[in-house]
Amino acid sequence: MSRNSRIPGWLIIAIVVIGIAAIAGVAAVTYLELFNAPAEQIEWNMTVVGSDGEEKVLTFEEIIAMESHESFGGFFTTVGTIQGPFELKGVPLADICELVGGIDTTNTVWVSAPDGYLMVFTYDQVINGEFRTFDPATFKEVPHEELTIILAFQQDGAPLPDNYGKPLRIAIVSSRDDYITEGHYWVMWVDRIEVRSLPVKLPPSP
Amino acid sequence: MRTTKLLIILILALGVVLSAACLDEDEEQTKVKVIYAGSLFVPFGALEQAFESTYPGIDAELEGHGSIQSIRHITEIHEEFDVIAVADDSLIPAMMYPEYADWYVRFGENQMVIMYSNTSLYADEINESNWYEILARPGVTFGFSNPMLDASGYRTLTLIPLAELYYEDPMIFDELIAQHFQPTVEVLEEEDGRYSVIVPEIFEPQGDKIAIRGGSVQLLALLDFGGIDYAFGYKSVALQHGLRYLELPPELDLSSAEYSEYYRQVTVKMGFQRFKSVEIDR
Repeated sequence: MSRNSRIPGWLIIAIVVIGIAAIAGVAAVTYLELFNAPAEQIEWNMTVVGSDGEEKVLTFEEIIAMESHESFGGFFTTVGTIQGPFELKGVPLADICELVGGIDTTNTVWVSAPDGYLMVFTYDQVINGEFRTFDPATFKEVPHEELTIILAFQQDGAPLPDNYGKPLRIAIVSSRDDYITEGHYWVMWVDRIEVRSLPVKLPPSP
Repeated sequence: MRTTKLLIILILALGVVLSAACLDEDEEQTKVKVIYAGSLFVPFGALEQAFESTYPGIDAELEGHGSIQSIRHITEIHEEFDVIAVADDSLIPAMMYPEYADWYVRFGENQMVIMYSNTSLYADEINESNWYEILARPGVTFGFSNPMLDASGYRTLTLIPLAELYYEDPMIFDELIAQHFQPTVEVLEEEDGRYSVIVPEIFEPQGDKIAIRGGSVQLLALLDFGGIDYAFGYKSVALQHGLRYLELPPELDLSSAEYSEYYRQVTVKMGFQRFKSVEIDR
């Protein structure tokens, strides 16, 4: 090849400069999105009702200001699709119930969402974390360490994504990330928590 | 210089090829979004492969949930899908007509069976005449889905009272179900002569005889690992997973249109309404 066919030096410099500028631009935008963007204001109210009818309405800001618990959790769906494990941060459901008088063995906790989904939790589930845990590889039931059911507002260091129940969802967490729980408990878009008394069954008439 | 020139040409060529590949992919493939019930997981996986092989211009995106949850993704969460497949065809007119659907096609049938393995107690003795006696024996364990979470659960609670009528044995439900739950599960005779199974809001078995799980994924794992001897479920699931199964009389297996009136003698009333759009009576 002759010397007359070589690329001009100015063209090479221009290409390099443009490339560096493009990379720097992408990096800058990413940095801004991650660190400098203003925090999203979440407008969300959640109603909490006690077994005696006491009712409180909490804003999202009030909920995240409560003492929170951060740990690991994952779940599987009806067809066995595994989600997680995630690092989840939220308020223990037991603490939410305490705001309206607490829960005892005669109560259940009804957690619902505006899409009409409802799940009922027992005293043992709310207070003692009594849930089954499964090996994600085999779905075999495995023993677990202490579990806590929380009202989660953060997943892997960021607000919950829209399709993961933003801004609030139920999560079952523990210090370990190698087992999962059943997905039907992980209520998304939680907007109501109600402590109810178990139905009293009267004895048959004599 | 020569090396630099070649490097620049290579980078540009790579960029052109990548761009062309992206454009080609977007232009050539049509996406078809399918949502389906969990019991169809295995056949729909095979269907997806066969369909895409036959129609390479179509990319079928499949998503599985319970039947009711699948419908709710469309009607309440307002996600868009092109095809929905459920395990209970009555749900489509009940939950989707007329706003979200105005027709459906029955593409398969199923029946309730009792699944088991070679290591299940009395595996070589159980038959359609004695299954309820064997399940009631000391030491025999069985499982079924929570009726509030899975259709096969409320179908199990439908067929067991029907078994009392069929075998003319009024103790079957009590021996298999009622005495093993606290609070108990009651069967009430209504004024019209039909029966209602009342499922309490806390549906928890006492003792080790019965295992209640959220769905077939968990039940199959229990069977596989010997956690239970028997499980009520669908024949299709038993076949897909290579399990032994006992077929029940058509009066009990909930499969036959001929016996639909017979099946309607029993209604299951749930302890709580998991989905607001679905009545608690099944």
